[in-house]
Amino acid sequence: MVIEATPRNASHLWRRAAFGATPEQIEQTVRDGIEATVDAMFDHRRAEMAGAPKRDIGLHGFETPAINLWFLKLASTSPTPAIERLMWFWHGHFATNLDKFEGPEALHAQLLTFRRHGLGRLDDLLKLMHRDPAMVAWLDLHLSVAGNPNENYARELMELFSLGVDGGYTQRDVVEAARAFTGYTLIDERPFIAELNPALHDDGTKTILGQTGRFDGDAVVDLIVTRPECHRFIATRFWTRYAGTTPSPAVIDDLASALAQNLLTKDLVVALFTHPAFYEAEVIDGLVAQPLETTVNALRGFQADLIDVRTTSWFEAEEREDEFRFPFFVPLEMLEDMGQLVGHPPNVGGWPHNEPWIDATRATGRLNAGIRFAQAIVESESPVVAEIVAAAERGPRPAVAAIFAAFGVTEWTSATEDAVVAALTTPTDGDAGPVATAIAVAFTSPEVTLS
Amino acid sequence: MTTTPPPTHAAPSDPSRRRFLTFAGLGAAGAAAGLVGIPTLRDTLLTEHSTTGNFGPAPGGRTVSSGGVDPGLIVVSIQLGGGVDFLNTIVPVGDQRYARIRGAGTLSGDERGEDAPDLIRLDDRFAINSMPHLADQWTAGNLAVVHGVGWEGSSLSHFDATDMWEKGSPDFGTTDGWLGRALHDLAGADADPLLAISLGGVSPSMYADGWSPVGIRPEARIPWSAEFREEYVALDTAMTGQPSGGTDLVSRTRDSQLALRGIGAELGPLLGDPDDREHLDEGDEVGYLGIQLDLIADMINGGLGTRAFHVSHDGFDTHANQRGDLPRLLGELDAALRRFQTRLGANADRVVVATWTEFGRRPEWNGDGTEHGTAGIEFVLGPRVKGGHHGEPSPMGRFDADDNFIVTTDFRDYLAGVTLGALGVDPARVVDGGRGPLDLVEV
Repeated sequence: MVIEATPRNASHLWRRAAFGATPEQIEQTVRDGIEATVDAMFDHRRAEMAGAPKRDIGLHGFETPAINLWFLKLASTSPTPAIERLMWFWHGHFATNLDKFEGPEALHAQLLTFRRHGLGRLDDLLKLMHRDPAMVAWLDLHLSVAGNPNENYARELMELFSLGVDGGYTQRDVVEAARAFTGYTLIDERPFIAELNPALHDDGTKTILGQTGRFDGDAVVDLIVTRPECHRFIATRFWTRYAGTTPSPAVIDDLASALAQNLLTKDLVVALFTHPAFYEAEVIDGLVAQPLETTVNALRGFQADLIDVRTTSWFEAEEREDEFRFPFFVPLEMLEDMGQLVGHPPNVGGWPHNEPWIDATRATGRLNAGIRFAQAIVESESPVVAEIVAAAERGPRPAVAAIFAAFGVTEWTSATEDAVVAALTTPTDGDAGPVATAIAVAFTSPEVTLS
Repeated sequence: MTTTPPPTHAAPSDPSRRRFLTFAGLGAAGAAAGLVGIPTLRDTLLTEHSTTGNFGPAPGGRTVSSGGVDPGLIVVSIQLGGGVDFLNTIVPVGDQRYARIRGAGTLSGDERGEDAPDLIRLDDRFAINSMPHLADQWTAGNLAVVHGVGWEGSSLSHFDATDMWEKGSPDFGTTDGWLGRALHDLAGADADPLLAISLGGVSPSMYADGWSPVGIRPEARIPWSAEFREEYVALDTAMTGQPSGGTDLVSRTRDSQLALRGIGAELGPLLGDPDDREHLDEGDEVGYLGIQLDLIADMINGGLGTRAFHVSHDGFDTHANQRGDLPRLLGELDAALRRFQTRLGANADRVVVATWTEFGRRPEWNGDGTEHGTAGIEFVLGPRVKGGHHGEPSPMGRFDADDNFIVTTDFRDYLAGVTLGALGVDPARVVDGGRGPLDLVEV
């Protein structure tokens, strides 16, 4: 079934699969169709290597700004934003906190693993995770050795990463799998590889998910990925995070069987974004953009001139602040205001979705973030702001259209229109001029808050 | 147990609308007036209980201050995230089986030196680890230690267990939470939106049942104070409107933006600008918990009508490095509670602090820490608390099929005891089943 490539559907696809789109990208999708756009978006060959932040950015205490600025710059300027969005999805799935590992390099390496293997085979990705130093440190796997296994990784692998809590495994399976995962140790903090140390590995016989053998971690993954519970769990996670609504069993059947064929995540992703259910009205209004997604969308849409930490050190950044017209601390403060930072998920289950992001707590943060963004982007002489100012000379309504175009939004309500117009036409003698105020109001509107 | 009517917490027809209309129309004075009904409701419930005898000795009616309405006790719920190893927290030093069960992870009061555990004797059976303030409060009769709390058939998952605690029910079909149900019963349909406040990140689902508790993060500036409105006149004008009350995400996004106006007007003057607040260093012994408890103390001292606060203190998932992490986390909790009670001053008398943790940890030491278990220990702290041991300690000689401690106290009886004692809410409306509330609070 061919999905109609209306501007609304095109905008929906770009805002979910990537971080929003320019009017030109939306027009192109209307011309090319949904299927062709999805194919191009997830063409992994187009994704170039994303450089690392420079080493001296990783000085203790600067991990969080370094990894976040790297992510924001990459995601907001990438020619393959859907690959970056998928990296973000996997970060929420294998939710790893920076705090257990000094410096941003280990988490950075993990994020690059998601970028490189995020569309590939699920079993490959799972096998990379128990060798990933940031993950290994986060779930104490390197401290789990023959004779004294700890169950942290084995349990979260089954419960959160692959099968789900009702995924047909037992406490006995967790205990036995923990033995299989003994001995994956950090060889050295650099170059960030954890390996199986046979001397610390329990190579005895285990019975896991009904099979008996001298299993190691890779063998446990092989057992897991044959289970239909695994395919349905991963399919449900993708649907929930990209579509937002409670999926029907039929949709999950479709996505799970796409994944089950060759265990390729790409097949699942393509099935999702070309599924008619993904373009139903309740799905289009069914997902709240997470704070990082809103921030990337704003930086992208307004072409914020943000520091590139791949070429600039933290200290240079402070010295060369004037060269980058959009102050680097503003997006960090926005993320902090809204309560979401790369490398700081609330727990190993990742961030919540939908309701918790729009309660009054988060509304507070979004308003603060919107004000910060609007003032900084206006002062930074963004070319997009110049277009909005030019449109405002023709009247408030063209300016409203220009603002929403920057956010990749094609339709908005009259209530939202009225609020932005009021911001543009209310005389003010404060710091924030009418255009900045209008951008802040748009930033907090349901049209931008929902994805 | 005699028949308890099934819980009848039917979802109110339109909670979000009600919530925001309260804000838009009434303001602080009207909202406070919404609390007038509490003592009556409580008295009715208690009379009922004492007649039917369901709950043992009936707590008496509270003394109403001569000024008029009793403002009521305040619950501060603290989630000790990760699952606290109770065995090394309230340590059974008087039981010879302890060392046999815990092996190399056994804590001993005989050790000396820098790394020696800070064990303080509570009585001939137990010592408390790294919590001198709580030890003092125990001696003063203000600390309840609730033993063996949990439920049968735990999956040992953090997320399942958190879900169970927040719903207060083994029935996963329910989507609402024990505190949400309690608050509805307490305050009725036209509740003050500031009746419940959640600190930190995500509002826990224990408030669910139409409640979206107001959330406060120490880092976040509160908009819509008088100064804010002056600074952002155009924004203030643009973002004015009537809440729609719709339940879809679009309406709810707009309505929570509009609700900020009322919240900010009340909280802004109390909390001030985050940049102007007293700063605690990262290494401060009270930790981030202490910073958040400061805000709670200021809100209580400022006279908000809030009856329930929630905050979490995470990191207790000690699969590894338990020797270092557990005493540090307990020490932070202890120091933060000491600071909190000091900051509250006379208002400390109105506050009941109640902890909950997903589960206790397994008896066996894994070499560097402990695994997810079943039964746990909870603390209830405050001058009105009935200090001492509550519930039977889990047996030390007999474990369940997975070699875990046996649950002796139904977690619902704990939640029911907290809500009945501190909020005066009928337990039948708060939890689904159980054996009857624990008697935790002096009334």
